[in-house]
Amino acid sequence: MAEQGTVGGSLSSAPVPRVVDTDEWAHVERGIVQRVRVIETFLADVYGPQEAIRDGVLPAATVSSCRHFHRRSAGIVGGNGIRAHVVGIDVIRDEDGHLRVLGGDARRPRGLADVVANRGASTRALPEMSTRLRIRPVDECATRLARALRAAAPHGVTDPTVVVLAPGGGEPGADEDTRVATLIGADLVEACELHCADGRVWRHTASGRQRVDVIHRRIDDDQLGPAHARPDATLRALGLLAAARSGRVTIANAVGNGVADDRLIYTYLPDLIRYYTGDEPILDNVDTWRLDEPVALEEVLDRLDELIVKPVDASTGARPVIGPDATPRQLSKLSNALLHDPRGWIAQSAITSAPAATRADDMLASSCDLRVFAINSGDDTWVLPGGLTRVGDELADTWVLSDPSQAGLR
Amino acid sequence: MNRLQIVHTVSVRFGDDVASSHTEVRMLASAQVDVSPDASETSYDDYWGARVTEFAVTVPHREITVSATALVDTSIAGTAADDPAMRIVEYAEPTGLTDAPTDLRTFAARTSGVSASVDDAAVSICRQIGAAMRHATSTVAPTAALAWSKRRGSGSDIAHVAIAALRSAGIPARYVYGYRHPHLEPEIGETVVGDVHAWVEWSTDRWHAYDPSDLCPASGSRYIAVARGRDGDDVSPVRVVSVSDDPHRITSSVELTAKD
Repeated sequence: MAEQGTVGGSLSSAPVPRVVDTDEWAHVERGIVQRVRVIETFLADVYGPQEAIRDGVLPAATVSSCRHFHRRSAGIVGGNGIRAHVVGIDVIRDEDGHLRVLGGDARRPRGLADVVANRGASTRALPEMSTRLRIRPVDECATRLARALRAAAPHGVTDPTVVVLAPGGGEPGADEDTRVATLIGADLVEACELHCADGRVWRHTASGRQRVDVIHRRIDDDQLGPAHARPDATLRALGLLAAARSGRVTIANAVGNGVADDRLIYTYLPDLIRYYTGDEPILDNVDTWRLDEPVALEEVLDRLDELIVKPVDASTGARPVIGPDATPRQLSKLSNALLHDPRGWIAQSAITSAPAATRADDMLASSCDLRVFAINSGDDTWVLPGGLTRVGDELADTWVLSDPSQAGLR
Repeated sequence: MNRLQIVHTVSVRFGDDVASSHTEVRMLASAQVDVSPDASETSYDDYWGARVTEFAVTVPHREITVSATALVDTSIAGTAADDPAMRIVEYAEPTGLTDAPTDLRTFAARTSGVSASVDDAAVSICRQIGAAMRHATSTVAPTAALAWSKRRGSGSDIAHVAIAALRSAGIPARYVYGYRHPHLEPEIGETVVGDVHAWVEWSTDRWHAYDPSDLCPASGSRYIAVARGRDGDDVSPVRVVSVSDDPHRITSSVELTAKD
């Protein structure tokens, strides 16, 4: 991949896009497609026959101790058998220049609408550059996502009604929920607007009630049931899950997908790729220590100041601890947390996730990571040519070149 | 052939009319399930292999009645299907309800230490717990630890204590909910009131069933298993949620008739 901060300091307010050439993108694409398919196979297996566990690829205790392994969601799957309709996967370049996977989100990946918005901003900011380079468009993600959601409709529904279920105003990400709904041409609803009756899910509209066939949920499993944290959501959650279980509504992404996002379970993805497909992983994982293994825990406790330690569950709000930046007091607190709950954390080499460097060329060389999105319609796994390049807390656009003769900018 | 006719009736009473409620019941997979008021039921097999029937009542109601009728061959009834390999690990881990307090752990370890085999240890643990606890007709505590500290409990509580002790001694154990015939030798044609009961199973070379409340193996024609899980929460016979979570009372009874 050739990549560079293109116009120096003239764009201090708009992050510089990352440029990825055709060949490297083709490699990313193959790797992401392989991952997404294996995540899908894994979810069907873990909520079904559990063959990978029987055959010792993944320890049973690792799955059973996962907070997002929702046994009550076993058997709930959309009309086309897909559970992860849209997936986000985070990749990063290691010191040797290889792209590696940090983790992913198969529940409710955030950022798809930001990709489209960023493209508008980056082409406005760099009009000449963006015309001169042939950049693959990203707006196709709207029709792809809409099609994937429609393809997941219950059997026998030919013209499904799709809604986007959002937590509602004030919650983080509410703005993106609205933009996703607009992108795919679906109505945005809150849980209180949905009503379960006759084994189906309905929506009240000005002109009466309307049957809902596919719910693209942007709320977490806990808000949807089966854990249903909010008492007022309980009855609705039960009705919703019952309708989904009997194949009368599709919840997309499926409830229970969080088991595939658990960072400890994620360390087994390369093994699961080999097990399910017989192929080698195209994109490897970032080196990760499993702290439920006593030897690894001991090593990590010795080297806390060099490593980055992350909670296995990205949705708890607990922040990763970057060893080199942490104070002795933070490290000693972390050390206690790891000893108390080794299952709750993993460690990765800090070098791969170092905080953003200040000079653009440095930062693009190693430290920024890239969130790639894939959309699975069942017939086809499509990778969005682009994504969010993250540098510290900033998000930049990612330009994928469409012409193989362009080697990016050097 | 030993056959048993089973009529399990559950009734749910609310304090006042409720507009809407959702109910799930676990009954024998072979049972005919009838619901009043009328509701359209759907059923599925849950993660643990039990048949769940669920339905919503969306007209104002104050009472729900569910009856499940089945005729089973007691020589094969309630035999568990083969489980995926992961279950044995899940049945070996404590749950919130079945975490063993220190004194129970010590007791289980000591009993294991002096037993000739794992099965002997399991029987001995279950017997001693059953003998040490006074019987109550309804559940007395939300957890095994609390029931054990009171030395008192329902069949379900005693099963939880036994499971907690077995698991703490490294023996995978599971909770069984089902029906128990009150007579050792059921008389053909006679209809009697049975117990909706709970007992335990542990795994060595195979699963062994034992009733710690009755200090006897839970086998033969007296015990019909309906559902198995890690604890009572996994296999709730009835679970009801209403629109504003109104208080409700659940009563459950079973009539058993031995047939030729």
